[in-house]
Amino acid sequence: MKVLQRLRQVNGPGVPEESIAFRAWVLVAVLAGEVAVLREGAGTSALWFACIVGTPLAFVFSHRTRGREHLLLKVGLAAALIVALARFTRTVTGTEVASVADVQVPLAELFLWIQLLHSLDVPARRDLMFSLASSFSLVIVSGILSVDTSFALVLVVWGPAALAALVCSERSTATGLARFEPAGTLGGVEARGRAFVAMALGVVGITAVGGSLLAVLPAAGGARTIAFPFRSAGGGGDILGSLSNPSLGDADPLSGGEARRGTRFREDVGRGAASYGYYGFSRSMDLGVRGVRPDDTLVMRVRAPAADFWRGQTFDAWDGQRWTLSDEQGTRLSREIPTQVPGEELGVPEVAGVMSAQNFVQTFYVERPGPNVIFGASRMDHVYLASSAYALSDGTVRAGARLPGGTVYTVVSRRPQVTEQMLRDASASGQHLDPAPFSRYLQLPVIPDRVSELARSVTATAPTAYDKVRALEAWIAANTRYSLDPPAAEQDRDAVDQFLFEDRVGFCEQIGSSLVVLLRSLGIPARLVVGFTPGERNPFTGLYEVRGKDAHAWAEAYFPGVGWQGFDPTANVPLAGEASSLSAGSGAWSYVSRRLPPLPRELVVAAGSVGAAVVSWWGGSLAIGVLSARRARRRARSWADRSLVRLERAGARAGRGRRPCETARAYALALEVHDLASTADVRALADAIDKDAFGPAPIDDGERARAEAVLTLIEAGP
Amino acid sequence: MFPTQAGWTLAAMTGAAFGASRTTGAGWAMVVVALAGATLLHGFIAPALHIRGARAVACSLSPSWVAGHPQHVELSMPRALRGARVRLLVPETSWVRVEVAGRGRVVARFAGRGVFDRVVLEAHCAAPLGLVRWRATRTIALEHAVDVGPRPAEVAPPEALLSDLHAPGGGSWARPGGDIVSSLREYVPGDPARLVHWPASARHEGLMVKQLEQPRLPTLTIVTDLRGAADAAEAAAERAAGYALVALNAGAPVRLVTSQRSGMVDGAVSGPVDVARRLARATAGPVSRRAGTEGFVLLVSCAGDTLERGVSA
Repeated sequence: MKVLQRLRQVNGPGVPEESIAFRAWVLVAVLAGEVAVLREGAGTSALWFACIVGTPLAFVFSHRTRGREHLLLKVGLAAALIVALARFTRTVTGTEVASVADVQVPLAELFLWIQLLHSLDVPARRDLMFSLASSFSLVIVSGILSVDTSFALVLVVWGPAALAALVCSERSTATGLARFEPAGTLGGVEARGRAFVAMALGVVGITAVGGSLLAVLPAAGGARTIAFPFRSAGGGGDILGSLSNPSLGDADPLSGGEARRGTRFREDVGRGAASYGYYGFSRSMDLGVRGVRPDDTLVMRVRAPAADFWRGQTFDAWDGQRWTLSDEQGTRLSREIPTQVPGEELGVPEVAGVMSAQNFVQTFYVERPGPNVIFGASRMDHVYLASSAYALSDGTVRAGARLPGGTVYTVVSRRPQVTEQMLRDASASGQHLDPAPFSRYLQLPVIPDRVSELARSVTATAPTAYDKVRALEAWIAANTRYSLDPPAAEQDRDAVDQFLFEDRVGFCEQIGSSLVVLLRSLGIPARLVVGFTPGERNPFTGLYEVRGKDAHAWAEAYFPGVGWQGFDPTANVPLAGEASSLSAGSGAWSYVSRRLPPLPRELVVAAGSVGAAVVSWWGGSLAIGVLSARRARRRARSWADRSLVRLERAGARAGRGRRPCETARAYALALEVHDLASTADVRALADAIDKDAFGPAPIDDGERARAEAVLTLIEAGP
Repeated sequence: MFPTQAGWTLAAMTGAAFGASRTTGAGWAMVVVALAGATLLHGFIAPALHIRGARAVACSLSPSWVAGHPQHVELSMPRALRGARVRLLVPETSWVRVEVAGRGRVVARFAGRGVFDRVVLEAHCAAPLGLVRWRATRTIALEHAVDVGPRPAEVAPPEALLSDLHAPGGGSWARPGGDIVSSLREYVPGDPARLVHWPASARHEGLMVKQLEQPRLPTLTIVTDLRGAADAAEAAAERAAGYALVALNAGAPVRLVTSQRSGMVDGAVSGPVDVARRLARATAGPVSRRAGTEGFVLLVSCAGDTLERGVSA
């Protein structure tokens, strides 16, 4: 019975909330939260309708019936909530759950139902605050699901509405209190105006300080990622692991298309290719093809804790003009989720101790149909993919089907924690490389002598393989120039020779290929990798935005005991062991400023000054508040109190403590300190203490100084 | 300073969002965390700034109070405490909202008797967001100490006192107002006819009227001994006040013997204010009746009340 009574007490109806403004702001916040989740793909159109139309109606109903008992309604709502929970449970248990990402959408739908049903019964302030908190949950959930910047609109609506609701709630708590009514109050309009200004300043201040906090907070994601989303966008038939790249138009390798020397991409070959299509994602890559650069169309977003090169595939066979894949058909991997990827480079032994113990989780959100290559940082360990997967002997993976826009897959890599010193040690340790497994990575056609001569002369003083690679990189960086419009390739001419000794102008394919050929001529296993550079990090979504123009080719060299390591004379390939931690807001200013129209310098300075002033005001206020509090604490004890304490201590030392009912005057005179001070002085001291403690104003400095002198004499003792 | 329920909720949800962001890689969740963190910071700083105005509050009280009786206190608020609520702890008031600066009155009452030279003000503020509630207490020294007397108890004089007070030629506390003739004077137009003293008028050859005076009741000396448990001492003080007021209303002279910080005080009291002031200052200390006390002596103590007869009673 007691439990029942306690339950009734806890769940008893609160005082009905009368503030319509409070209710309205909560409604706006709730609607913003609901829309935020719905636009991320949660819920059906019926749920859309129920939320957009039902929530306001529910709020109106709740307001109109706020004073009534709702026993039947509560029972009905409880039953409906149980149904929603059962539906969620059925959805979750009915599918194979690989990670929390698989329950995010059903959970978001459950939240929506809870929010919607709860809106029918929000009579009191407590209920409205619960709705506000619930809307915050919806915003967090939608923030987790959102991958683009349009989520900012949600925050622009939800944030001020939630702040206004909090303000109204705080005012509502004081509704029942009497008001201190002095003469000459402010008028209502002026007071409302001031409230509006205060609210606007609050929003600006919170935005400014929130921006500052972003610079301090760690970036989203990390080693403890537990969400591994993957989703099929449909429309991709099983192509059994064959390479497909519809963005190349009629050069799609699945249809046998191929770009060859002397042609111009999209004109002679690759007609119908997308503007972002990259000809490197094919069975072969001829360095004599021109007009191949993709534009800046967004092709995919990558959620990853750090920047890396997103490897696609590798080329190992070089004929002097063209790279081809020697391993064309991969091995079908098991359909288990996640799908384990066979170890790096089939047949090549991996030396333990180099691999990172931490997973590097990358989720790829495909925006445009492209190659069915599964991108990922080196080295892939397992993938979450809705379709079947095929592994090639170089350790790269292809999807068994096309990957249209909307496809989502997650790759978990184990990045080798490699540092420069490790590579130097690995190549200097004298470990002999068995050339047999690496023959295809040492293979070269007949190349002009001056190419191998150049490699030897540049690396003559380099003691280790790593130093040789760096020396060649440095030479290429110093003696060649990057250009998107290099001279036309000559027929039957070695492309590397033409680039190194004639043109010295080219793009990443020429530069990367030259490094590979130079390394192979020195007996260092090397290969050309195509993929994407990290792209630009969006500081708000935390995702790397990879565009067509980020397609890239670079070299990889093999180090005994370490494995393959990327090198690029045109871009810095980060070594995983030297990666630095990222803050959530790093790069925010440059990201935003690049997207803003050019602003007058005065406006930028003024806006910056206002922002700095707001932040300074906050910081200054905090500092002043702390200092004031400390001063107030110090002042709390008046001079009279302090002097009396000193007198008591002196008396206690002399063996005469102050009695409970003894006044300062009586005590001072009772101390019998005639040998130290005259009775008149002691009386003056006592008078000063009494006057300071009980008089209308503190005593003046002169009187205080005289009293202090007497006190000091008494303290000094005989 | 303590977070409100809303503050705790927001902090907890912000922590959850941080965890979600770190484990899912959701950048927007981290943006939400940053904004929620800034909101918490705002909710922490703003009320601290608003409540600073409480330091400038001044107040004035009338010099005499009776415990438990409501009276007005005048508060002076030089600065607005927007969104704050203020109350006095000593004397007690209910919370009031202070939206604007100015000078106004609030109803207060002292819970117990005593001499108060300062009042204690408490201010709470969580405005504007209601996330963190700041509390400030301030002791305001008064220009003049305030005497708060005990609430007079509803008492009847002891039976012995009632019976013994019917002194010959005197009045009685039970029948106050009996007249005695103190002298005669010549008639002045307007004097009531009932006051004409006919025998004297006959002898004097003119109308003479009686000059009346109240019968002189015996003095009641109330010896208030407050040594004992605090509650019992307060109850004794209240009874002493009750006896004194009953006696004074009856027209009897009253003396109060109390112990004060300065020592024992034995003095006459002339009215309720006097009684309140004397008992406000009374402390627990030794008291005794003076030798040769006239009238009746009522010893009021924590143990009970005892009536004794004085020298002339």
